[in-house]
Amino acid sequence: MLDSESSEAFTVFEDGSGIALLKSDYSSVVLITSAIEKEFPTLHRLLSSDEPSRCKIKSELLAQGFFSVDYSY
Amino acid sequence: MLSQKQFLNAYCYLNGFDDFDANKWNSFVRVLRENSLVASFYHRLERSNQLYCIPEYCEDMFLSAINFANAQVIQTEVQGKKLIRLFNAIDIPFVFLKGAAYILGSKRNSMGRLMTDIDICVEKENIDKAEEALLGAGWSFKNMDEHDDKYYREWSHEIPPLKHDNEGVVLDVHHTLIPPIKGRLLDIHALIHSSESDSDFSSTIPSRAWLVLHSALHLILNEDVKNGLRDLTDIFVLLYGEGSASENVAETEALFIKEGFEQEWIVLSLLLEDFFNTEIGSEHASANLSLYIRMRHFILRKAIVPNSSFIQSDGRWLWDSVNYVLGYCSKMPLHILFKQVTYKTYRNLIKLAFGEYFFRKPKPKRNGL
Amino acid sequence: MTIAIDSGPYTFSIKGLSAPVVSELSNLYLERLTPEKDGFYDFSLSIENTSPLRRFFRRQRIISVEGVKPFNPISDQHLLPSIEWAMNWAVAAYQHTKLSLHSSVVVKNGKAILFPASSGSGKSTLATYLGYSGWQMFSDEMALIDPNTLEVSPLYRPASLKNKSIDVISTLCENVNLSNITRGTHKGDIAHARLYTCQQFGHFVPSKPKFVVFPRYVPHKETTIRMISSVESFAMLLRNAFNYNIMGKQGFSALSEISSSCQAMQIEYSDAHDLDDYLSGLVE
Repeated sequence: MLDSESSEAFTVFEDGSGIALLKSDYSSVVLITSAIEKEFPTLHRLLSSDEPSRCKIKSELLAQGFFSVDYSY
Repeated sequence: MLSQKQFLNAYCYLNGFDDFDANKWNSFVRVLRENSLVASFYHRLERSNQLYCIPEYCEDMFLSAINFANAQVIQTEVQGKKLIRLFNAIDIPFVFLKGAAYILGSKRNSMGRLMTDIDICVEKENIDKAEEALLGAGWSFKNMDEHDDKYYREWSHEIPPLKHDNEGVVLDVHHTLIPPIKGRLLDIHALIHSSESDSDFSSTIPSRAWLVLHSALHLILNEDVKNGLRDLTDIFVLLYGEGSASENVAETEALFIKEGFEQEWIVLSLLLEDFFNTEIGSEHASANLSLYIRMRHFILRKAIVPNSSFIQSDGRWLWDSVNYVLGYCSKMPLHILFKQVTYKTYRNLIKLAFGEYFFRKPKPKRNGL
Repeated sequence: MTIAIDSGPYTFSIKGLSAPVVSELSNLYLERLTPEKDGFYDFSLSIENTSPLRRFFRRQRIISVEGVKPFNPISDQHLLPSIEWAMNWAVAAYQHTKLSLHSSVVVKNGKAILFPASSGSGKSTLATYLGYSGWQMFSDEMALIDPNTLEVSPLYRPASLKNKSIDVISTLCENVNLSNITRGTHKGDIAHARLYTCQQFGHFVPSKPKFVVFPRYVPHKETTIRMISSVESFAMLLRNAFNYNIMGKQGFSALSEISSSCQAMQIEYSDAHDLDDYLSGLVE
């Protein structure tokens, strides 16, 4: 579910298929779990777990610069 | 349809809504929408605690405009930060102008203010370096014909508008606020180092006085006043909407005089008195004003009222035409004016014969609407 | 002539129309088209001449939407589809309290199915056929979604059919109300289909989407369904969202919720009747 209080908006889809996140310039990044194993192994592991931790996922997203508007994906 | 008085009473004085039925509201919001004033008007109404005046059937229109304006603020902040990083990397000081400056400087008139492009100003000796850096960072020149390209580079001495390839933003890079006219050069160095803002963008936002000066010159010395009411509203809110009005006015008047635009200050004062009932115009009202001041004031007072089929018109085309000529005359040497008028006349005759859109390039086919 | 059109959530005022065009529009909008009277309208359009000379010589018209002229000039013959496109443009350009998607919407048993897709994908043809065959077609072009309730609004607008789809619908939907065909537009030949009377439309109520279907017509193809994941659905919905970047967090939240709560699938088909049966089974 979406955490509407956070300035970093992202959704972890309950079917485990991936996440979508809203950057601060209102553009979005969509990450498919099965497609990111090689490039983002930590994120892939977190998303593939039985109960993904939103907190850890958010930390990893921030660490990888996904919320940065300078980074194009 | 509204009379001019009804429209201005509602827009400028936030008054007269008790007499507004659905028909008048329809006319009023049409004019606001045509002139991109819906969101900014909403905020002015909100500040005066009169949102209750808006009938329910209009609410969606206002809220839609607010959402659009809020999104534009986000985009402007993002682009602003990127431009600051780019220009810091090449050590070129610059300032934002007009809409971008209002938004990034968190000025009160930025609320709901829409704009079509971002304007910045660099010093003349840095313009080539700025152009090179921008072209290397994903910006490219907008398509324009040979005449307009020459107009920008040779006459205006600025680079043509740029568009970002990925992000669709349009950027105007200036090195002066008005085309150079003999004896009328602005101190751009002072402009660029005038910042008094305490926002995140502090060093890139000119002082309030400079913002007013720029907007006023744009209004008074331009041949096109399509956004005249918006510009005058900006100036009114900048001077009277926050801080001490008397200090704002005094500082701004001092800058106009220092930069050699005393006559334009008088014209501006008279216009603010006409439209927003300020008092700064009253001291000039009875003075022995020059023909130039009286003429500009008279024409602008007519031309600033939005040209809309929802406002009763009184020979509007005439005032627009006269202002067009006066605007060009006041900023161009004769030989350039002659070339420009000849070119524009040729194009207008072609459009008259073959249609307004004769020169419009065909749109590329695309999916969607 | 000046007319008013009530499309459901939005009203339009349209000035500068000739009697023949008004007659065609009347056939499509029935009692929801009236002579304009005093009042408030959500959107204002006017049909203008481009120059004094072009009023008489190779007559050329231009559509102004709230003072903006977003389209190239057109001949009188192309006015009807151009007016429909201008009405779409007005909603997409100025309406930002609902999330708008480039999508057809059909509803049955109170459950909505979205068909997000670009022009030429066949979504209008499919939506028209389903609307004729017992579904409620809320729109063939634009899904307007309330970001708070996620309900899609029904629109009283004719379906826009292009080129071959005109023949397809004429064949599949006997006696469907079709406008005259406008030939030679920049999208080819265009006709409009009215599926409902105003009374029938009066029974349409905003409905939540339960399924997101990405249809693709493939000649001679047996109906083939591929379920797609929530994240793929989100990505594809995003591609078809008009005002997503204006709606910001609200738009993101709405798309996330739709992607999470609606089963999404890609369907390749050649038999519309077979597809109808399948989709009807989904919403039972």
